[in-house]
Amino acid sequence: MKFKDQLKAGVILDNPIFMQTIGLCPTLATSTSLSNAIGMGVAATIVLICSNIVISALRRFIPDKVRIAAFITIIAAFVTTIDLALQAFVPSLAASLGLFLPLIVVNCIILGRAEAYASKNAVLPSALDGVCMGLGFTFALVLMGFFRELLGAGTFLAGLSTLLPFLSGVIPAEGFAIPFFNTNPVVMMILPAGGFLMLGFIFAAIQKIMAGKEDK
Amino acid sequence: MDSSRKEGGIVQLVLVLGLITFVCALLLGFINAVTADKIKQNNENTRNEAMAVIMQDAESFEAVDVGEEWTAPEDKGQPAISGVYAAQAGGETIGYCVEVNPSGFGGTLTMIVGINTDGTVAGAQVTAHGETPGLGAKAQSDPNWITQFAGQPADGSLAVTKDGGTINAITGSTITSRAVTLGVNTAANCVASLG
Repeated sequence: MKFKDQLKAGVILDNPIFMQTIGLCPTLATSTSLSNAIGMGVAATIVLICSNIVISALRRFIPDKVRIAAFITIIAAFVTTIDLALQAFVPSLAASLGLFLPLIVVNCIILGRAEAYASKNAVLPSALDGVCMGLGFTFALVLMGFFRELLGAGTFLAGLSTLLPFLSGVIPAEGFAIPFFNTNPVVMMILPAGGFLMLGFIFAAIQKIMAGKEDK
Repeated sequence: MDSSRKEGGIVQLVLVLGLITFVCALLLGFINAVTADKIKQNNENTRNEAMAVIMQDAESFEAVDVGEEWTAPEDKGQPAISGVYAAQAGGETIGYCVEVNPSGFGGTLTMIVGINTDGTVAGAQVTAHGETPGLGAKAQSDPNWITQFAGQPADGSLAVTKDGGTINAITGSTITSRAVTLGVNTAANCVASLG
């Protein structure tokens, strides 16, 4: 499979959230704002790439019967390593991602890709699979986060300057207030119920678009 | 695709899984050893920065020991205090900074509360939290909200307006607002007990 096809599969055709509908729990929890979505997406992508590479490299060494235990151990080790490293060297990022990092251990996208792809394919394609699926996950989170933040809080990119301190001169800490939405926030959209609603709307839109394509 | 998957006997299963967990444990032990001091330092820096903002006149802070009734309260409704620091200026104690951990909407909040010796609240800062972005997170991110605690009486009587008090709750985040208020009250009670 070529990288272009893999990318298309990861982001659109086999998008982990919208098409495979796995990893919905972290999606609902961390798509309350665009900056949270970006943070979680990037963190999960990095873990996914690392775990895919290691699991692929060890695929002939790990017996079938204990593979899940082995995968989880490897994933948990990566997540803990990244968590500790961030806390030590990039405390501002750790403060904003602190909630999400432990969630990644049980993110079924990562275990799912280890089981479905990395344990059956060579190292390089597995790494690329990690990149593509990670991008797909990030894309889904960003789409959800953008709309939920816009409708629920009336802002755009709030908190991104805390996540990425070098942007603090460009983007205000409270983000850009969007007129109209700013004065009429639908608070429910950033609560869990709003997450389900938004996910439903996006699913519906995607089904509509895909159905239209198949007709042609 | 690889068709030749390893089956292996029980000994091999144990050995392989044992080896993987062993390597992971070694790696984590190493990472922990490298980062532990640095993380402790970072947490102290965060706390010191918050204390310097709350107690602007303080020249130095000195840790004070408080009893277990504050650090590990029997009443589960009372938030635990994880540190008390006396703010010193000109050789005198001008107030106390208390690190307290009330339960919010999304887990435990960590906050620093400054109490002046004259019995008023000097200020408060939320240093870590798991509240909802755009709602409860405003306790930390909205600088105009938390400042209303400054100058309030530190006698443990503060309450949000919904509960008949004077603290304006964050819109849609009564639980977070109550948690912060409870944190301030607990800090005030603790400092009062120091005399």
